[in-house]
Amino acid sequence: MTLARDNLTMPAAPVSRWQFDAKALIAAPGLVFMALAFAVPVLMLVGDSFVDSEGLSLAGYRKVLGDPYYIGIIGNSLQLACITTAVCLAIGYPAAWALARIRGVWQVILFALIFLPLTVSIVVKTFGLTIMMRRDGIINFLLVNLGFIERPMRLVFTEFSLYFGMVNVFLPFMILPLYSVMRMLDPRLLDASASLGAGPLHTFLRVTLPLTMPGVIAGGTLVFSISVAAYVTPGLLVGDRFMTMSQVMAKAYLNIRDFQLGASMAVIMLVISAALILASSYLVRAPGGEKR
Amino acid sequence: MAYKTRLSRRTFAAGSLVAVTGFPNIVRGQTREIFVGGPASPGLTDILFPVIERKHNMKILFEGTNSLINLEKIRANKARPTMTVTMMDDPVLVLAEREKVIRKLPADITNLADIPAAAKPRDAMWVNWCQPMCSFSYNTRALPQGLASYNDAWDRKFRERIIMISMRITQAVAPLVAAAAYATKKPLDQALKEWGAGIERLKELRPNVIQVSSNAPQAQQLLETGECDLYMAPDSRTTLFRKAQGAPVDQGMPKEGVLAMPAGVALVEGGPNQDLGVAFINEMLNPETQALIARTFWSKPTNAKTVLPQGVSFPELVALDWEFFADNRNAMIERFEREVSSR
Repeated sequence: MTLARDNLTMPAAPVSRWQFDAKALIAAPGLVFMALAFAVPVLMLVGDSFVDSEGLSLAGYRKVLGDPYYIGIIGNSLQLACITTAVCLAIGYPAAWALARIRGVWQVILFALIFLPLTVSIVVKTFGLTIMMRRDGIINFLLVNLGFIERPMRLVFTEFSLYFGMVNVFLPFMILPLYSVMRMLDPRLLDASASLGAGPLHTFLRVTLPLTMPGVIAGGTLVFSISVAAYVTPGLLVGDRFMTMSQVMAKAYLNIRDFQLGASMAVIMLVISAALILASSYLVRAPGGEKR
Repeated sequence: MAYKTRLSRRTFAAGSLVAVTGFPNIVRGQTREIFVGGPASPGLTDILFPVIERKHNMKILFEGTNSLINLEKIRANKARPTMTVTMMDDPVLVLAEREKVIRKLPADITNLADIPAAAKPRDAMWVNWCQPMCSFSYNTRALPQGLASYNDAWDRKFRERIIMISMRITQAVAPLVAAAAYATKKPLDQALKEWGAGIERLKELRPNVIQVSSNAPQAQQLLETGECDLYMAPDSRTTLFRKAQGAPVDQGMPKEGVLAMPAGVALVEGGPNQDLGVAFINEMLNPETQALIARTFWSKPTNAKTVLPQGVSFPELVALDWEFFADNRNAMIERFEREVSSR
């Protein structure tokens, strides 16, 4: 008993950040799987990016980073990911807030509306969107009959359709992390802010937003990472007019057989995603984030 | 009179083991399987293959994709091939031959004797089982008379009314060659070598093109629903098949000529069940099957002994130098995507 009490009162001995923690072993099955399914192929890909038919070479990176055409394609992918992430955040934040605050049958309905689309294949969803966006589709029908436009306009194969489709596919990936953070938020904090005289906007900017920032960062990172690598949705909704990094990889491997070009583009995409994940990890731990 | 069973438990167990392990092999032995890779053309798995399966007591496992992806799969399994027969376009079969992943067709394919030499390239490394027509496809509601010339597609009245297929797909050669023929005043079969001039001419078509797509079924659907007037260029396997099903589309017959798409079939080097592969290809070349192919795929049969079904006829088709195309395809893709497809 004395020992236990002493343990409670004695300050904990400093723990080296490199000291092995046996709890890490629980992650072993997952780590082994990811090593086989992800790390090994990625290492092979990185290796391919430095090899051409004559041996070690940086030609793949020179081709990608030294050619304005490929730089433009990297720009397309980044633009696509940034706009998709921003729109998903703008729409997803209030949706996640509602999901975290309402109770009962409406919460179930809202959950279903937001997450059931995840059970439908991206190909099916995207083909469905092209049907909706045709001149004789439901969107043009509504726009004409509600008096917004005089005659049907072209929506398929436009950048509007691309962003519409991307947000449609990736919105749930923004809402889920936001919701998981917002449901932990103590509503009394908002009451306290109001009782101290803060208006709704001030409360949002000084209380709600900082406390939900880990969800914003996690959701943003997730949506950005998967939308920068999107292949099916841009291919079906806007075609070759809006080439992305993924389409270049597919072309390099399946059509022109320039494996070094494909691998170099893949490594560049990986670096962009990894940098974003590391930056978001830093932001979450930074002051204002979840630093403990 | 009742007999007493003298089956011991040991005999029963041994019999059960034989039954359990042997039965699947007996069943498999009755219907052997071959794996065929080929184009995702309508009519293959639902009309043609069932006929061959019934006739030769075989099961055809088919995977439909475009030719270059098909080649990539064969290449990836080169050490242990799983595919017996591959159906690809000639320009991709040229590459397959260079990489030694297909083998010369044996004399056991007796119907080869009735195929003209031009349809048995490289001394019968493969054979053309049909020649689909390729020009352009149009929506008959928007253009009841079609177009008289490829050149009409450049007319401003088609602004944002044309879908083009990506140069990654072989049929994209049709608008490229037509553009080169216009620019150089050469006939279609000689214009391919001037493809650079064709790219320049295609750049002038950009205002009329709503999209360059790698997804042929989606482009076909948008043509049929009137989202565009012209689709450059699926071949008759798709267009006339859909027309026969009632879709408002038709194959263009421009005055400059219609290209012969070379639909080839080959034996994969080292593939399993080669005897079935031989029977499969021989059946594809059989005059009766060729007649079925002509009316199913709306493609010109290659066997000289084929009697065309009533109501089916084909114009004289223009043949291209597919080896030249294969050698220059990557450069064509690169220039097309940079100068014609891009924003």
